[in-house]
Amino acid sequence: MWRLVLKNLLRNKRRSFLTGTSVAVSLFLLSSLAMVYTALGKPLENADSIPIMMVRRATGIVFPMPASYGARIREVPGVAACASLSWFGGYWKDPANMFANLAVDPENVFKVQFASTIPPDQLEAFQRERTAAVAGRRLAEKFGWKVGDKITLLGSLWGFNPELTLRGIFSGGPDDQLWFHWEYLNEAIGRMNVVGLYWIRLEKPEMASRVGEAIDAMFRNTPNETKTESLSAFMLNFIAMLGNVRGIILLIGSAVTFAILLIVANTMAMSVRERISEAAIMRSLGFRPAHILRLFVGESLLLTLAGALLGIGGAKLLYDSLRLTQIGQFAFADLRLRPETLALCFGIALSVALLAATWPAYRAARTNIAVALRHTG
Amino acid sequence: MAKSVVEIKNLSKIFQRDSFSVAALESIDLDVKEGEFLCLMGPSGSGKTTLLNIIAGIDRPTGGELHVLGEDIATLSEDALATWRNVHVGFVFQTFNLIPVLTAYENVELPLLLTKLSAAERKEHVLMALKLVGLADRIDHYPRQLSGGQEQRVAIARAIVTDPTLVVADEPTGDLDAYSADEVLDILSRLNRDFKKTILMVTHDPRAAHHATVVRHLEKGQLLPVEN
Ligand SMILES: Nc1ncnc2c1ncn2[C@@H]1O[C@H](COP(=O)(O)OP(=O)(O)OP(=O)(O)O)[C@@H](O)[C@H]1O
Ligand SMILES: [Mg+2]
Repeated sequence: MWRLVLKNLLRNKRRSFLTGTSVAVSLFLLSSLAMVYTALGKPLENADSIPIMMVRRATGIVFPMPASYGARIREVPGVAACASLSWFGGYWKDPANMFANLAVDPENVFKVQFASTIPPDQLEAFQRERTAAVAGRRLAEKFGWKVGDKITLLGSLWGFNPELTLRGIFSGGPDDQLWFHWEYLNEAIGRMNVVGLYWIRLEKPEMASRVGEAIDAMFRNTPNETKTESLSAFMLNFIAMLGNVRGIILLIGSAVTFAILLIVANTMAMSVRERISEAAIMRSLGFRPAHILRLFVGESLLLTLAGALLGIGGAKLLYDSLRLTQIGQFAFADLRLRPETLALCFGIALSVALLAATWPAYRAARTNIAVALRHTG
Repeated sequence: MAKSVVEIKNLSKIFQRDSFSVAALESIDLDVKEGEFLCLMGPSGSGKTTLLNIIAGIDRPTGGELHVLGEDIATLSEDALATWRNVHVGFVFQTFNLIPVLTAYENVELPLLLTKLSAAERKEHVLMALKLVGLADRIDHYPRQLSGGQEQRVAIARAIVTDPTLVVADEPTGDLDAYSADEVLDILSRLNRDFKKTILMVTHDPRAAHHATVVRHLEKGQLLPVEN
């Protein structure tokens, strides 16, 4: 029986090829969308087990906080380390070279970002020199930076172009970022003594809610109230600034799904219509309506799943080899096609195949044999 | 006295088409004995195909009694009827007989896929059937690589591969030249003579009637009395 399904599929090679390719392209698109959708919903893998939190202004992440808060946050029980960070927002050489560059507290940043490792001599060199910087390994590789290189950051809204010397390269953490001394920034902008946020590291991940409440309580009823949240909650808020991106993705995804359905349904309708009389002949030989139904649905399944395998498999291979970690300027733990996403896309393909074939196939299987033969015979 | 293969009493078939209805068959009485080669003739639209389809179980009557091989087939379910056809009836139509993507061998094998036969047994049956119609050397040919007469012979091989009691043929020579038509008719009469198949054939061709043991005429949905 499967032989016959395959042979029927190859009967009109061009049509099957075009349909299969359309399905493949659509599913490539769909799985890419699904990947971004899941990444936006859950920016960090194992977010709950990461003992890092962010302290920001309660009014929003764009508002600065006093640099004096750091010392007070460090006093809160459960806080193992605390480092300020200020989004600098410059580029290197060309506005196209956008990446995350942050002014940080060099004494504490590696205590908070415990996963990042850097050779001790490089760390020391970074901490010693006011204009020193360190970069994540992926970023350094991308721009071909070596330790000792001069890096000037341009175009920041701070209205100042730091001239930095790369003193170290770290890896294992947010490897797409560049860090330099907050003091250097603070002096250049006339000692305003403000920072963007605080990164804190907890003694234990389970302490998150208790520590968060303690910090926020400490600054309640001051002009600069804080909001302390987990890394993933922080990123979700950040993404929310972009507007309802997930909603738009969902909309596009639905449109793509509908398009695949139309393509496959059209092909199957044509394919079935051409073979009404063949189905009648087979039934005269003793094949049951259910056999005919299976024959056509099997054909639709084979065609769609072949396209799906190509499209989704291609997407998987591509994204695995690209090792994306970023959408625009937003860094993610992992931009990859997770097994759930793969399963979802195959599920959609499967439903499309069934939906597209069932109605025409059912009609072909149920037509009166005598009538079907009379039409073409 | 031979057994009756087809017993029909007062059978009618009315096609309902929107507002008006067409009486394709009216009060048909027919008895076909085992081993007969019945030839059904008559003008176009007289109901020949309709009668043949009803007897072969691919259409249902609207009235009267119908027993084929002792079975009241009008009461069988769709699935039961399909199985019944597979076991008891072989079909040859005028055109559009073969599945174009399957080879002659695979086309003949089709009805056997529904049986419990093993692949080896199926092969044996298929080769025997194709040999019988003289096409043992064409097993790997696709329908488009065969002549019209050869296609029709493959269709006959497929009709007999399950060893059915009854073979029905609706204008099997209608599209063939005289030579190929004779070949097909020869095979059908040999099936009747040597293999004792009961054959019902619809035809316009007066020469085809020579091969038959009984000839009946239909006119405007009614069977004319037997002429001797
Ligand atoms: N499905 C149908 N719906 C309505 N009328 C039908 C249908 N099938 C057959 N008829 C009518 O029934 C009558 C008998 O048709 P049938 O095909 O049995 O004739 P026939 O003797 O086989 O003709 P021909 O020699 O042209 O094949 C015709 O008037 C035909 O129009
Ligand atoms: Mg006819």
